[in-house]
Amino acid sequence: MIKNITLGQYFPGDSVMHRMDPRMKFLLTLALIVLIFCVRTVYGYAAVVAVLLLAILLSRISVKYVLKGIKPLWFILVFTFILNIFFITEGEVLLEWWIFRITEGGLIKAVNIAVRLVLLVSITTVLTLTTSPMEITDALERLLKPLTVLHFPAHEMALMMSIALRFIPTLVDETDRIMKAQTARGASFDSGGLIKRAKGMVPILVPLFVSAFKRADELALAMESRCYHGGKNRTRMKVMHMSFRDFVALGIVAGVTVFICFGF
Amino acid sequence: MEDFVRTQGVTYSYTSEEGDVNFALNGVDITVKKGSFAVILGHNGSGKSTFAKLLNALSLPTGGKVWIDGMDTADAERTFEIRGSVGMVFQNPDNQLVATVVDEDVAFGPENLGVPQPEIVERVEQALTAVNMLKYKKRAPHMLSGGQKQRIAIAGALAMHPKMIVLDEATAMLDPRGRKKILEIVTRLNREEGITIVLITHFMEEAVDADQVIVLSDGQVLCQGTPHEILTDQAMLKKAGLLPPFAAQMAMELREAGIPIAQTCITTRELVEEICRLQ
Repeated sequence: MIKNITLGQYFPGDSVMHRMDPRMKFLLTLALIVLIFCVRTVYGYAAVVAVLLLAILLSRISVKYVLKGIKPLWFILVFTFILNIFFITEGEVLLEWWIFRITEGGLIKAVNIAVRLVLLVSITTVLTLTTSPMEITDALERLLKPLTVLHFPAHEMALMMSIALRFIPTLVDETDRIMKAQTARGASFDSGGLIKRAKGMVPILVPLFVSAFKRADELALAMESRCYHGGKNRTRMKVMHMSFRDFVALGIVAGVTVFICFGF
Repeated sequence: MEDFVRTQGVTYSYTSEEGDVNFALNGVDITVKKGSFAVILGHNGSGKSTFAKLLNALSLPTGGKVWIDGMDTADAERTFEIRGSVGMVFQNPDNQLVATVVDEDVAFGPENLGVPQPEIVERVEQALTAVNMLKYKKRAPHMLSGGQKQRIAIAGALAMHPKMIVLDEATAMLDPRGRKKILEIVTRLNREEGITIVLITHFMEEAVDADQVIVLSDGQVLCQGTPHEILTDQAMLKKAGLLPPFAAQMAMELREAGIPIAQTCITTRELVEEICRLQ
C-alpha cells in the first residue's frame, strides 16, 4: 500500500528539457514564478502561457500529464476563488443576493489568483518532471556554493537531501516489513476511530525510528571509512555545463520578462 | 614479503553502563603479509568486528599498537592516508551506500580524496567492471539484490585504489549464490590485482582458500595457521564455538567409523578425491 508513494514525480526521458542544465532550469523556474506575480494584463499571461507550452512541448510530456499536477490543488483553487470573490468589494456590483455581493473587482482578483496558482504549479511541475531529485539537489548545492563564504553549509545540506532520497525506499520497505510483523502479532491499523488508529501507529514508528538511528550510525561509519571529511577539498564526478540551449532558454525568459515589465 | 598489517598487544575495552570494564579485544598480536588473503574466524562476540574497525582507524585501540603499511593508526595526521589504503565493506548492504545512483556511490570515495574529475570517471568504470556491475551503472541501489549491493560496496572501496580490503561479515546477510559471487570477486582481486584481503566471517567454508586463518575467541587469538591446520582441528574449533566445514566433519565421522580417510580434507572436492582413492 505504501509502495505507491512517488517522490518528485520525475519522468525519465532524453528531451531538450531533460538535457538542460539543472541549474539553469532551477533559476528560470524561479524567475518565471516571480514573473507570474508581476503580470497585470492578459497579454502578460499569454506570454507566460506561451513559454510554458513551449517548455512542455520540448519536454515531450503530454500537457494532460502536466495538468495532472494541479489535481490535488483543486480544493485550494476553489477555496481561494470563493474567498476572493466574496470578500473583495471593489468596483461595480455585478450580482447581489442576501448578504452576498459579487463585484467586478472581486471577480477579476479571483480569476487572477486562480490563473496564477495554475501557472505556478504547472511551471514547477515541468521542472520536477524533467529533472531528477538528485539533479535538483546537485544544482542547489552548486548554486548555493558562493554562500559558503558566509558559513552557509551548502554541501552538508545537499548531502542530507541526497541521503534522505537514498533512504526513502529503504525505510518504506522497512515500514512494510514492520507492519507485516506487527499484523502477524495481531495488531490492526485500519480499524477503530481516529485516536485508536493513531495509537496503532506507535508499534510501527518506534521500531522504525530505532532502526533508522542504527542505520544512521552504520552509514556514518561507512562514510568515514571512505575518507569522508566534509565538503573541503572534495571533487565531483558529475560536471554541469551550460550549453547553447541553456542560453536560448535564458534569452526567451529574459524576453518575456522585458515584455511584462514594460507595461504588459 | 613485508607485513601489511601488524598489531602488537592490542586491547580494546569499553565501560558498560553499570561501570564494568569489558574487553572486546585483549592482547591481540596479528600480522598479515602484503598481498595475502587472511581470514579471521570467530563466533558472535569474539571481537572480530571490533578488530575490523581498528584496521581502518575507525576506532583506536585502548592499548597496544596497530600498524597499517608501516603507519601507526594512532597518528592523527595519517588517518586519511590509512583510510585511503584500506577499503572496508560492512555487513549490511543497505547501510553503506550513500548515493541514489550506483555510479555516484562508487564515486563517493574518490570524490572525498579529491581525485580530479576525469580520473574519477575512469576509476568508477574500472571498479564497476572489476565487480562485473558496469551495466547497472545508472540504477538505483535499492532496486538491486543484496549481493549486487555488496558488489557495489566493493567497487566503492576499489575506486579509492586501496592496498587492502577488509570485509567485515560482508557475506553474512547474503544468500549462498550471492556469497559465492562475492568470494569469487575477492579472490580474483587478491590474485590478479595483488590487493591484501582480510575477510572476517563465521562461515568456515570461506576460509578454505585463504593463505592464513586466524581464530578469535573472547577477544584473543586462539589459534592461527593454514586452512588445513585450523579447519581440521576439531577440539580447538569447538572451543571457539565454531563448527568445522562440512567436508572436514564428514571426513572425521568416516574416520571414526573406521574408514581410512586422510585428516586433511576441508573441501568437498578433496573429500571426493579421498573417497575415490579408497577403491
